[in-house]
Amino acid sequence: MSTEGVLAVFADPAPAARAVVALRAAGHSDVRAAMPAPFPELVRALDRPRSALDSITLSGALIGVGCGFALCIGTALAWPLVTGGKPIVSIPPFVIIAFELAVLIGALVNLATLAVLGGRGRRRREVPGDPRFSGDRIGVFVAAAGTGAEAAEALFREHGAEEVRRVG
Amino acid sequence: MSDASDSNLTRRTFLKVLAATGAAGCSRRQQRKLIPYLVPPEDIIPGEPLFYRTVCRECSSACGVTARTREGRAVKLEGNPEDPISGGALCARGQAALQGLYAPDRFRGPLRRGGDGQLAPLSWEDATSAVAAACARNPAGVRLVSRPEPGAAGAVQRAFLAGLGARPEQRLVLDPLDPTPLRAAAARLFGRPELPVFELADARSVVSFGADFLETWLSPVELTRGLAAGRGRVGEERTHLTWIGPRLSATGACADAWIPVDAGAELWLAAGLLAWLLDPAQGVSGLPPEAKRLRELVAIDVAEAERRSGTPVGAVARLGAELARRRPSAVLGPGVAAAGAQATELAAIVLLLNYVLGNIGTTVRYGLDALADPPASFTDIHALVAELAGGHVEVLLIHHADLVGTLPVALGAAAALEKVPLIVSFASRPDATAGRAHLILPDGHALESFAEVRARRGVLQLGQPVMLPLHDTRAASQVLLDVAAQIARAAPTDFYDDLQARVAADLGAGGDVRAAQQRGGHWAKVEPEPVALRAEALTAPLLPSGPATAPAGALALLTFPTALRGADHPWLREIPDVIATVSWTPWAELAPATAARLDIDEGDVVAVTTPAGRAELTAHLYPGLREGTVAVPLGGEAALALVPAAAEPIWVGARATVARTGRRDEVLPQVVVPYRETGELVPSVSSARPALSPPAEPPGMYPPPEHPVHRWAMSIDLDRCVGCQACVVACYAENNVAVVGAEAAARGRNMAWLQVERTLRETPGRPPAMDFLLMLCQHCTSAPCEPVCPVYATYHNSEGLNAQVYNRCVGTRYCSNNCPYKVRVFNWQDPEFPSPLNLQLNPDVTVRSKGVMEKCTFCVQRIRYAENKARDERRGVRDGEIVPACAQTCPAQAIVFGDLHDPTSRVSALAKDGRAFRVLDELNTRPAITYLARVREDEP
Amino acid sequence: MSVAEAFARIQRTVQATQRRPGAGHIALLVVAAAAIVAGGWAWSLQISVGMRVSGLNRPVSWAVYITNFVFWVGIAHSGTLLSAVLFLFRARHRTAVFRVAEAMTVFGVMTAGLFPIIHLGRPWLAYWLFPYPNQRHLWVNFRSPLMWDVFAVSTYFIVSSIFLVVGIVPDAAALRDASRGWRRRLYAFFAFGWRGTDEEWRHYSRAYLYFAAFATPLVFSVHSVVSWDFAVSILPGWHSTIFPPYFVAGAIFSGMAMVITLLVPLRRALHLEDLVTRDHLDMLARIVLLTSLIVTYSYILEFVLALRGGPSAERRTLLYRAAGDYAPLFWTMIACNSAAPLLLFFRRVRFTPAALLVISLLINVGMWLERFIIIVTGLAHDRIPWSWHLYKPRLVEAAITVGSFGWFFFWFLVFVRLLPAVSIAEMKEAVVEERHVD
Repeated sequence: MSTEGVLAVFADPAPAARAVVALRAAGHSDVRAAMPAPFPELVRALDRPRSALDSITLSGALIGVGCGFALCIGTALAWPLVTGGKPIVSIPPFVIIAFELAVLIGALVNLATLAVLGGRGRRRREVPGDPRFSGDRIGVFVAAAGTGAEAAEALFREHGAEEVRRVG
Repeated sequence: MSDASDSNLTRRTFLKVLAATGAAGCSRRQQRKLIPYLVPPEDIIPGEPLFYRTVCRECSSACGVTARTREGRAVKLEGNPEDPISGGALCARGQAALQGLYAPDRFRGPLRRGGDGQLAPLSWEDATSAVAAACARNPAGVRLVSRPEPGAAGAVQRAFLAGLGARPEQRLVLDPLDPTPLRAAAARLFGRPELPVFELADARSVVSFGADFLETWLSPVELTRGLAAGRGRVGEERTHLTWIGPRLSATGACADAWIPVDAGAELWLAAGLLAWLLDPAQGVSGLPPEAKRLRELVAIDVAEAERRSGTPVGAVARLGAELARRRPSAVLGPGVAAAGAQATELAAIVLLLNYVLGNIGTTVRYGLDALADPPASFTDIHALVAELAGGHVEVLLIHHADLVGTLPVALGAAAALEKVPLIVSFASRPDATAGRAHLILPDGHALESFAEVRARRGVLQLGQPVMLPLHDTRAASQVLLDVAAQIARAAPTDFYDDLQARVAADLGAGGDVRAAQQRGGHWAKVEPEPVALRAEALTAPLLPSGPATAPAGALALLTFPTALRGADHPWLREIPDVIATVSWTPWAELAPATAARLDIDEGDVVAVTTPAGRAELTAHLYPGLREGTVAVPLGGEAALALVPAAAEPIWVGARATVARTGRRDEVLPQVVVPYRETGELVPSVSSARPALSPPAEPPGMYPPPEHPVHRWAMSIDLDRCVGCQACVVACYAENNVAVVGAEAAARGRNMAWLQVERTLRETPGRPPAMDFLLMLCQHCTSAPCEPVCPVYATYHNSEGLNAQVYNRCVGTRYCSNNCPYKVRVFNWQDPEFPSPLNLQLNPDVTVRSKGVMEKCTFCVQRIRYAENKARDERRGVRDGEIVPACAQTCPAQAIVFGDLHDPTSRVSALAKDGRAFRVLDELNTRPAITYLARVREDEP
Repeated sequence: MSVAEAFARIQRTVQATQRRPGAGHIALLVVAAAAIVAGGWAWSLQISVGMRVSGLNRPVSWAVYITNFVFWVGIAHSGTLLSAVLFLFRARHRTAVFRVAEAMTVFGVMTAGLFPIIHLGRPWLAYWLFPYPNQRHLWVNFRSPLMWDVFAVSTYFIVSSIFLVVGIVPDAAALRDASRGWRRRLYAFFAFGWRGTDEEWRHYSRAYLYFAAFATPLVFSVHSVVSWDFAVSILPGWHSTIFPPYFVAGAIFSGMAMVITLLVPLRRALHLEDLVTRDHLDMLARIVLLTSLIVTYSYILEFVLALRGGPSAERRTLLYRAAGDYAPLFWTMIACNSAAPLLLFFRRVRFTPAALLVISLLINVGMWLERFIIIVTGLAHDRIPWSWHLYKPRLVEAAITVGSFGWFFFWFLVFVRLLPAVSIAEMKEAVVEERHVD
């Protein structure tokens, strides 16, 4: 993806969000933002698809359940010792292990997925770095060139961007 | 259990002994490398036990013993099954003899006390010649004090004195707790200064006047077996035991009725009973011809008797009626706990009761006491002490007799010994007297020596060494022979030959000495001799005249022997007293009411003072003790300091005052288990209600686990169990159970796998009654301890054992928390077996390390041994072939082990018995141990 | 005040906590370290000579160590509750306090996790409690509650640590961009290259939701599992079906109390008064009050259940609890856990930090006692009278307990100086939300 475009800095999520809406209305498909917190209005304005991480994490949890039962039943059968007159494979206690492993593996998979997707996303839809974006400012970037860029600059200004500059 | 020794064993053992005595203690060298036997000894097969028969010398009963040895060292003592006295069982003290053998403080060789009072080693030769010189100087100044030695050793001693030209009176036989009053009374009534032999198995009613015959009195193992023979059944045929005394002792706890009396007042009750029986109004049948004369001699009104003895009204009539009805009976006594100032009178009346009831010759047998070496009377002991104090004695030879440590302090033996220029002690361990000896010539331990003991007529017990001597010791008899030889400038005779010759003579023509020694003795059936009441016995009145009134305010002192105390062996000191549950330390018992009156609390340190002396003890409140009495166990200085040294020892009845010192013993209250009502735990039956509801197979969520071949199980008959704790010691010995010491015991860290628990039933209007319950791992089918272990360190094996895997255990202790019987013990520290006690360890059982849980295994090593043996012989395991240590040693044979899967086994039969119950059955743990409820006729 | 200013102020306030510690802080650190050393010494003594240095005995073979274990696991509960459960419920007041609670959770579990090992007879074999393939084919017993503990506690530790670290990422980025030197490197590490782009936020928000979803059942499962250590046994006083809810409530109760105990001094020391306001403390106090009532109800219920019907072992144990050797401790516990929190009904009390601090400290004591009483009275007084035996803790157990507090506070004190104790990002988000509310 090209990183040529216009970067605007906002001091407030609300106008930033309005700018984004306007930009997308003006036919800018690739609008990106960087912000210190996930401000709902801005997120709504960007209207990105929901993260694909759900299904992966969920399957991780299910694998956990499987592992839990497999571990308990497998080891019990591998070393069949009677304790307290209870059957070798006594399911009720094994449910606990299955549950714990579901949570554990689910959480680990969730973490891994987050790292992968987040990192990839950061690279794919890069926003020109600015220390303020993690602090008190919001950066909106639109990939555009030539006339499109000028239009974007104008749009930004009228939505009260603190500063607007060309990048790339 | 088979006898592995072969026919010329004693010769070899004897040679070993000689070799060892010659080359000083070669057996002490520790082998550092594992080297196989280059020339293996003939019968020592590594890993195989080897059994030797010998005789126990811990008390004067002289039980036959089978010693199990492994790789040339004794590891366990059991009764000799052929011996008529032990009957294959062995009491707690007998088994603990092993710890005397391996005692770390044993004398390693002859010692002489230097001017600085320190003991320094010297050679046997010097030692012998020193003794010889001293004895030769003035034979008249020689005295010999010995424990009863009815046999070779005694003969040698007498011969020694004779050789010196000394009078026989210069030898004194010391046995402080011997029932001398009974001998005296028998001499007076029947003209025989003998002890009777009681055949309790034939008696249907037994009455004991303070005789703790299940603990220490006469021959406890034999008497326990006799009583138990009539127990374990409901109804008329069951032997009924009545205990008479101020304190509910362990024997009293086994009694069906307890008639409490004032301390030392048994005499009046006995007299009242005799009067009642002789009273024609009662129409007692089968009275002897002398009945009329006797009636005049015991002219005492029954009510008067009850008043003077402090017994509840009607007690005499009830007891009399029972004795008249349930025949034959046996009246025992007086025990130490009844040996007051009038012990001899009491003994006489006890014998007369037996005479009147026709027990003499049936259950009370005379003519069996061999009188081989009867103990001296207290008059003689007084005389000796006087002689010693007077400085008339130049040489005092002491043979296993502790003048200072076993006689009342007031006797002044300690001071008297100061006057003796040369005290020679043959003690093998330090004791109070040896501490004052100038020469110590350690005798070999009974398990290292030959012995010949005439227990009674027809019962000849033979002892032999079961292993090489540990130290440079020498048989005391041999030393005496050497000394005699030196004095006579003759060649020393050999004690061994001497002994063999005596045995040969005993056996008569055609007797095989070696065979007898291998069997552990020679036993012949000897009929009792009839006795007649001497006319002159019926002249003097039988009762002392004048009322014996105690000074008000003071308490009566009661000293009593206990099964475990007396011998200084770690096992005996660690295992708590079955009544007080105290271990390691003596204590002072008070009735709660008395204690309240004196404002004394459990654990207060109190000062007990009698005219004889003063002792500080920790108070223990015991509802089973008579009001106005203070009871102190014998063993240790405390009790001896309090006992007055009158013409006869006043073990009971001395006036004592008890006062708080203000200090508290924080340890004792921790040890003492409070007496609590736990009727629901330990049910009992009666002829009114002969059967309990049978233990129902509880419903379970899961099918119970399969036991393909065996289901090992145990049954414990609480009607037979007498709480003697022999099983507990057996368990310690067999399973290498560690001794933890006083401090740890107080912290509740006793390691016993098997404990005799006691509970007290207090019914208003009745004297309290005691229940014993043997508590050990119940090997539950649904064991709560198993599923909670995270690492499978404990599980249920295919033979029904609750297995404990020591090396898998990580020590979470959850199993102990979840065990409703609390029979799992944790190793709070690494066990300590101070050398050479470690030589006693059973090689078939691991020694557990710190941080590991352990518990009863049903002696799995014995189970495996029997199973392998059966497999080798291509057969199944026979019922009764597997005998755990506890069951093996039980004198009452209360414990039965076997296979619950085999419907013909004894244990399965007992499991279906009407008295069968399982502890905490409602928890559905399905225990493998079935208890048989005790029979209590007083039950509603 | 503009949004940007609000953001800047939040960030300044938080960043101000990230300066070099003052003398007081250092002193506390030293005390904590000393406690750790003392505890370590005591433990090494116990390992070398065996458990005999403890006051444990038969039948009381669990006591202070397991008490500490349950206590610290309990402490560890509030964190996840605040960050996960209240996050799912979108409770606004959590934002300012949950980070502290989360850190407390992680350090609480770290402390709790020590005790199952410390209390072992052979701690050097503790790894046998984990199912790992070995050539002897030995496995663990999944039927044992202790094995459930192993899984529950380690899972809880891992998940709550992840939760904490992931939550810190945006804040770390914020601080990274606003600082320099070694701190910048430190934050850079915890920021994992965070740039705050919409893509990152897209996945982040979703993932965070899932962490919350996973952590929520943990809050209830972990302490239920811990309670099963007792409830699954057959010991009177332990074997009770009400234990799981009772323990969970107790855990949240003690955890919230601990949060207050930490926050009240912390907001003063780190000058967070305008971020962590009295409203926040009020919110915590309300939760404490609620859980206190639940716990009290459980106490009553336990007795009612035991006293109904005929004489039973349970009844004997509970009467012993209330009237036996340990009765003074029992009534202290009632005073701390049931009586004292009733003061929180008064608004004045809830808004007086000092009062809250005192009450929360009492609750900490009370909850420790509660676990001690449940464990010890149950064991000391079970079905068979002759096995009854008292327990008194000894020096080594005291030292190890003190050490555990040192261990916990050491990590906490280090944490508040190195990482943001209040979530910057969420505070900023909150600012915007609030503006929408007004």
